[in-house]
Amino acid sequence: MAFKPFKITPSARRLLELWPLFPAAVYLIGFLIVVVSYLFALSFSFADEHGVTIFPSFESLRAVFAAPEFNSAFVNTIAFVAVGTPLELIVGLALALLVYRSFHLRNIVRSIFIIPLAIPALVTATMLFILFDFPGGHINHLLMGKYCFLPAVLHNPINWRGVKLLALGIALAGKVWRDMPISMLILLAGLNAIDPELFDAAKTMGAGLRQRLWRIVVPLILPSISTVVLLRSLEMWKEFIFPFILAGQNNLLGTLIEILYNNWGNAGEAAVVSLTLVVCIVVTALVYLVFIEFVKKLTARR
Amino acid sequence: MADVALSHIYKSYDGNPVIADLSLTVKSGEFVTLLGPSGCGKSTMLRMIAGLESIDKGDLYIAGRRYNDIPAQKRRLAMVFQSYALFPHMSVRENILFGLKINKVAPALMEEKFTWAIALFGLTGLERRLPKEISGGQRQRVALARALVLDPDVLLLDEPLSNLDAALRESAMEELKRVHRSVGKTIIYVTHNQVEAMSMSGRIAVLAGGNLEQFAAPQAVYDDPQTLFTAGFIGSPPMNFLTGLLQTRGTETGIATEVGFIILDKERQVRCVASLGKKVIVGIRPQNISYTDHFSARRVSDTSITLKAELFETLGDRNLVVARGAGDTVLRFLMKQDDDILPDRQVGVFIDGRKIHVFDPDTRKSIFK
Repeated sequence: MAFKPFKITPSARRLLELWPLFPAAVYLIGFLIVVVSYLFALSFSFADEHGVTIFPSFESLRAVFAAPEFNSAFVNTIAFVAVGTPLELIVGLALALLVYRSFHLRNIVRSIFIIPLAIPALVTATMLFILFDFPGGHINHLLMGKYCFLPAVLHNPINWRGVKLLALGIALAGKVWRDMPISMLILLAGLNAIDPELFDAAKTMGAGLRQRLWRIVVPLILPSISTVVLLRSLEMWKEFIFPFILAGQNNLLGTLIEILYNNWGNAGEAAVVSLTLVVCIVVTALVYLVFIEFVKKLTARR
Repeated sequence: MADVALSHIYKSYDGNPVIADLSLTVKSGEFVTLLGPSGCGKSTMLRMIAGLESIDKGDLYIAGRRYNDIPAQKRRLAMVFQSYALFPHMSVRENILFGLKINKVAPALMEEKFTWAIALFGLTGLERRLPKEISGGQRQRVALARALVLDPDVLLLDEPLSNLDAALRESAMEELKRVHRSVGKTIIYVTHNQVEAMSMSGRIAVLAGGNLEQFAAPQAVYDDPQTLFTAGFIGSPPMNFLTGLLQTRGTETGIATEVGFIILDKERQVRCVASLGKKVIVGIRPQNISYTDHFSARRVSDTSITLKAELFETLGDRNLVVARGAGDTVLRFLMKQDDDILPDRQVGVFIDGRKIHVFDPDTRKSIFK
């Protein structure tokens, strides 16, 4: 019997190509469904004083949204996102532009900039905790002239983590320092994709550094900028470690979930805060996806 | 318009010199081509003139003013790059107006220049298109328009035709010549393509290994190459080279080679008297070796030799014959399409004594004074 070659239609081929992704898709979607449905169930459950669980109930939602702790955590988180995201973008862009230029030992400098990413966030946060401790942290000692190489600029130590703005600021600075290599690497990839002759051309036409940055670099790395803004803002929404270690009572949504669940044993309210966080993240992602499409159209048609 | 003078220019990368003590002057309004193979330093030279590369040693003068330390953005030059370097996020109009906006030109003048440029380069109707939406030839014209609207003192062109196909390159060369004639700018053009250099330039600077081999008009570079490199680099098919001894036999001076005694014409005999008795390298262009059958009126300065035809290459209008002479010497020559030479047959050819080039093997320079 003659061998008959097996023929496959293009649509069947496409399906076949997707087949290896199936287990991962099932795992991810299944996991998501289980977690989110459980989150919903918990959010709309309420345990009364006798320990009886009532479902469905809006009691947890009502309690959370009426609590000043939630409002404070929500505002703190928005501040974290609103300040932290542009900060990570600016620091990342500055570092990317720095290592993009050709200079002696560039590879070593680039490697140094990636070091923060290699340090666990918990370690970085603990280091900052020790540095800004009260009253005997290194920063206080330094400012009080206890180290011989600097004169005293303070007479009394500052309770860095006791002041809300300072505590959140230190937590944010730690977060930005630790995650800046991610932004830098994404933006550096965008910069490296630009033909260097474009900069030369702009130079020969009289464009200075600032004009080259705003008229050439920024429009051409807009896709990278959008990616950084999206990724980093999502990260900022769900930040936990730095505010947990450094911000004390000044909660973010992420730390409030932990406190509600572990300290107060209120799973329903913790679930409501978690659900709020999920909604915030989804809304942010959708807004940025629309924004990215807008930017793409803008850069394609300009 | 401005003249450009390069005086004893030296440039090295990591201690390796790419330009070594190079001097040349481009006159105001002149079209000069820097011609040479890859790595000869021609693009580096252009980038130094543009201010995109620093000058290690030597001086650059434009219109009599020293430009070494003037940054690129402050030089009144414009450059067209090999890749055209059009800004991909800007339309044709925005690309052309970019430099004018940067230099804060008045809107009315900007519009006037834009209208002039798109008319000159036939870009009408493409104003709103992005670079990716136009053809290679149109991109090249946009790049030229973008450079010329700036009204630069000097226009620098870095292999702007190398991305075009042969047909488009021909028309682009004509266009460039027309533009040069109409705007009269000083143009410094870089290429490795001798056809582009020969057909467009007022003068050609032949570069090799960072050195200036010759700086002369195209015909002079072709007819009278001053170095062995120029002789081999200019001309297609490339020149044949033979070694021999310059000597006088009877009343004739010529070169004793393995294929025979190649006679020089009277004018050349006078110019090489000082080198008599020396070992030399003879250069003969394939165009100056003629197949006997179609050249009956021989001159006294022609040398007749016999070769065995081995290979034939069709060039379209003519055929290139690769033939072997005495002492296994390979010589290439051209024959007409209707000439009938059979492979592996002995053919008689003669060499035009008026077109022979002779070089000193040590200095690699022409011995003709």
